[in-house]
Amino acid sequence: MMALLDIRHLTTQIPTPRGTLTVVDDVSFTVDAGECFGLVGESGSGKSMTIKSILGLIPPPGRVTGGAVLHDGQDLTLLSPRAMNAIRGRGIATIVQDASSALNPVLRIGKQIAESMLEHGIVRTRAEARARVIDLMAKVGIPAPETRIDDYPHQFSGGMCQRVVIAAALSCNPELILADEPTTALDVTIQDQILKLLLALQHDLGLGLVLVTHDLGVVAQTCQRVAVMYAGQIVEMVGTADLFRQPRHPYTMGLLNCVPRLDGPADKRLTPIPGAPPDLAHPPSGCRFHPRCPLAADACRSGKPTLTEVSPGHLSRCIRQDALTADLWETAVA
Amino acid sequence: MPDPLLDVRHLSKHYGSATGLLKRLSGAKSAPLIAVDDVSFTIAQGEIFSLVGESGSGKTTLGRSLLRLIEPTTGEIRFDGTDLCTLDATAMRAMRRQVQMIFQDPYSSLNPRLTVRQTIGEVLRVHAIRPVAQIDARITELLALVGLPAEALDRTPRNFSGGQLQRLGIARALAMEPLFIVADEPVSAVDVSMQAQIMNLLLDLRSRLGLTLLFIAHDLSVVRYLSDRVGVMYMGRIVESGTRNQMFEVARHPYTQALLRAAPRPDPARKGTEAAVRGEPPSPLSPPPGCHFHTRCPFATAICRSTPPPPETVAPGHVVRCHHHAQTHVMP
Repeated sequence: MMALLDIRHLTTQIPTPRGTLTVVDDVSFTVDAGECFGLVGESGSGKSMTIKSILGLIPPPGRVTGGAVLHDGQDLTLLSPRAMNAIRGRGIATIVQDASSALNPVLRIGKQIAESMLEHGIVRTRAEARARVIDLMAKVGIPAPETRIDDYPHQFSGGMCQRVVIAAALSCNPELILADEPTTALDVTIQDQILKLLLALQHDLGLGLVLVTHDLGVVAQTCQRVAVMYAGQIVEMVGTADLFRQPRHPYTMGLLNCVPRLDGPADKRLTPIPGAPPDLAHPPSGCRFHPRCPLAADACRSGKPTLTEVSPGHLSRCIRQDALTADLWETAVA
Repeated sequence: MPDPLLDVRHLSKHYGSATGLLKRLSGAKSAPLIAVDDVSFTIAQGEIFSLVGESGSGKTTLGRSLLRLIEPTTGEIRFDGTDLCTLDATAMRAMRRQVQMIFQDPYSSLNPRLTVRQTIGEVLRVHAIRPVAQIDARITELLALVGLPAEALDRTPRNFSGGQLQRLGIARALAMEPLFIVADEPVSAVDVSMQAQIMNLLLDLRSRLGLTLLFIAHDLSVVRYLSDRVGVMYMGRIVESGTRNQMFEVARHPYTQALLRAAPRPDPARKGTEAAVRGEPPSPLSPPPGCHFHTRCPFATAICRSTPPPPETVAPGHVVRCHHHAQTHVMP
């Protein structure tokens, strides 16, 4: 079966006065219909840039310099802007982080949800559009859609704005939704509601969903498979259960170790990852994680590790992954 | 039991109760926005007390009013025996040596054009904490205390990572040699791999310097890691407070329970489909009568809609404002 989205060796570079930054570095993954795929990483790891690259929305002078984004039998990186417009919102929809600023403050909600349906010719008449917008608003859990359709964004809370953005994303019956930190700006009880809504919709409509997040808790509760990004590269990719049960990259292990948890012992001291992520203008030689890695050896400083299958369906970009132990970080810091 | 270092009694902050010109001309009066509503709590010397709540719950307003960066409307803030609300500007300024603040966004809380030497040196000079000749040595000492290299002295904020900037913010607060620090979401803007560094630093500083901390946060797992005691705020009120164990193991208020259920956990076995709590927080301009949480609460009955629940002590140190606290341990 052909994947809904098949990304191969995607590379995106941004020229700056300080040098060329490779913000997405040889990224490959696939997303199937009905699957929720997580892209997790810290700020600057390239997860949002990956989404922008897929959509052809890298702001110039940055551009996709290599690789392919295969969707529906075509390579999106080769399409004209016009052809790309026909895909964005139609086949592939997006949900952004800050819903309140994604909406136009001077347009009524209904008009904004209907916009892409009219643009893509999903509906012919305004009456038809209105009926479908009300339908969509009800589906994403906005109370009293018949009256709220004529409200403006400032009359909606942050959570309700995010529901509006989700309704707009669903409006053209996309096969795939790219959601970039869709709940990061929301309070925890609202985040919980929105994530459950997204999952229910994804399940009911059989959508492919790419969920970008910095929160391992969000990944654990939503995604089937996940890729961990660090400094522009995927460093580990695996089914979600295995990522938490048996991580095979020192960075992933470090992340799992350093987040405080609601379960587990309360008094156990956290083990931080020392240092900070690298400046992409001057990335470290060899493995990009080696300056912070307790396992780093000479080979890590010189050789560039590749993403290798360490067990079926489990990829890791670490040449020393055989030497990983469960207490890697505790012993390293002690 | 010794007197607490901080004893806050019936503190409230109302906004907009003074009417504007147009309103006065038209004779209309609007109800004030009650950001902090009759809040009382104590913090003992050397303790870390956390205030947790969602945006708009009043936790930041409360934290800032303790330093009178925001003037409280009514109430008392007894710090080391003195009611801060009665101090004049000069006395308050002297008091600020002992009460410091760490801000959420380390980027915007530091002047981008000043070097570390200037930023921290200014504090030491203005408050005459050290003779001029000793200032550089003291800055280096402070940098070491928060884990920054001495080379950082002549750098400006743009040359630091987010985690390092937050260390700098902490060093600036420590320069005053305070007894008490209000830390307002100090790790929320810091990336996860560096969050733990800052949290460990705060715990270390507490044990080394005997600091007392009010920690303001929205992330329950961070609060669980750092706190001795915790207060949960909802729409301006502390709805539940207790020791860390009481709050995380036997929370009695339905809102605390909802927060705990809603928090995402890095555990793939725990996938739910039901949202932890329905609805959204009501507008703070027209809070629901009675218990503010009744519009979202699965236990709500008639009394919740009419009467604000009084604080009730359910165990030593564990206070809950809920009419149905005896039933809430069983989820409906």
